[in-house]
Amino acid sequence: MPKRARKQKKFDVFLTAAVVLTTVALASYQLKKKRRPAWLIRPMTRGYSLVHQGINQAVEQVVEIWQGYVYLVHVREENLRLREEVARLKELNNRYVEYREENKRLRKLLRFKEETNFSVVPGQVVDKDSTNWFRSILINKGTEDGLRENLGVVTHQGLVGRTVEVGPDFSRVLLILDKSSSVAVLIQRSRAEGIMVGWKPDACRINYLPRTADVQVGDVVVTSGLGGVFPKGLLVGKVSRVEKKSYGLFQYAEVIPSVDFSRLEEVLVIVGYRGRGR
Amino acid sequence: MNLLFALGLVMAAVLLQTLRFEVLPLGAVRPDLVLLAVVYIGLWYERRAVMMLSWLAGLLQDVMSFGLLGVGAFTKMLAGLVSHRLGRSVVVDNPLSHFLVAFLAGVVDGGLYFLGLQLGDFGLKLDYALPGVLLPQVLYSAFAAVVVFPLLGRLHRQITAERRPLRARGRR
Repeated sequence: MPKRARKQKKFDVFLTAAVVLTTVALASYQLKKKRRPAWLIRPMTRGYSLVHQGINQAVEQVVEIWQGYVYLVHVREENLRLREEVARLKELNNRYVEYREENKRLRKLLRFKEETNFSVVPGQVVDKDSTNWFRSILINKGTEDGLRENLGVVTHQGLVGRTVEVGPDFSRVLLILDKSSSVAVLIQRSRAEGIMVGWKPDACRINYLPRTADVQVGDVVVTSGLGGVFPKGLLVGKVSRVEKKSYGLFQYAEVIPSVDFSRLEEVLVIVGYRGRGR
Repeated sequence: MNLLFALGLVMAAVLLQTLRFEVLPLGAVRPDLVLLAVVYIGLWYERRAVMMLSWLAGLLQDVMSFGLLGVGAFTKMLAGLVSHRLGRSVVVDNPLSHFLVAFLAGVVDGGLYFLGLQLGDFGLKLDYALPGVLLPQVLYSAFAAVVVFPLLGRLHRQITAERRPLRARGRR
């Protein structure tokens, strides 16, 4: 074998070993410490989330302009002579539509905030999980805003998930749809308790529901407060299917979450109860 | 310039994959754009570059996900090497090859990723993972490769001002 080829082969072996060792080291760190190395995660996540915020805003602008165009196109056709006026109105309308929608969402969040006893921190969804394996989102609030791990995250529609990784100005939220998420819940009507886990891409499943418990399709599911992460009484969703086998101690229920996860833009992180501070 | 293109491709794929506005969602599944970038790089670049770039792509994806750090980096690297190896033995410039290579690389990536996740407590079981994530993701990504790769190839040639067919470049 020529000297150069030998040298290249040695380098290849070295490179492979370095890559494998780094991989093993990273995975071992996470498995041992039960968290990911902040020195690696924080700068990368921060950088990406900054770019994402910019892109999200740009996309919103494009959608806003498109919506305005569709909305006003017939007006422009009918009022050719008033083109300049229409253009001005279009611009105003674009802003109005966006403000109105934002106002609607924030008003609902505000109402929820006022109606509950929780101290909450509002946050915006910056990005979603990079794989199809997990259901998590990144929000633009972190330790600088008083957030920490294992805080409940909600919207006016109901329970969203919990914080699992918190940086200075970002947090990763594990959605209740994720397979590794588990929430102590109860059926509002019959008070039957169970543990809800992520099950399907758009549904959860309540395990450990006593076999004798009264559970019916359409029943409202709320958090039970057990476990200490989620306060009691948060709306989770509705039972869409009940599964009771001819044997066993438990029955199971499929739950459709009340939150529309495909349109999640703003969330509230519950940092404590009013009067007790953070 | 050629390497910069690949780096840009990796960064853009991770960026698009994590956007709040999901790119080309089909139900709950999106194509794995990072996998597509890795397979593309595997087909057109030399082995060392494939190894490093696909590892980097996987690592970036790991960072922007809830999963076990390093597992995605390793599986993406293997997916890159698989597509590189396949790229040497098939005619790479046709849609069927694109589909097959992306499919096989996706199976390697997804299958090993699933196995790697069993090291941690992520609650993922085969009866959910196979029909719910792995197969739809791999199939969707493979179909997407048929559409995306010719476009990427054109862009690649324009940016790098490469007149020869890309596969004539010095791959090892």
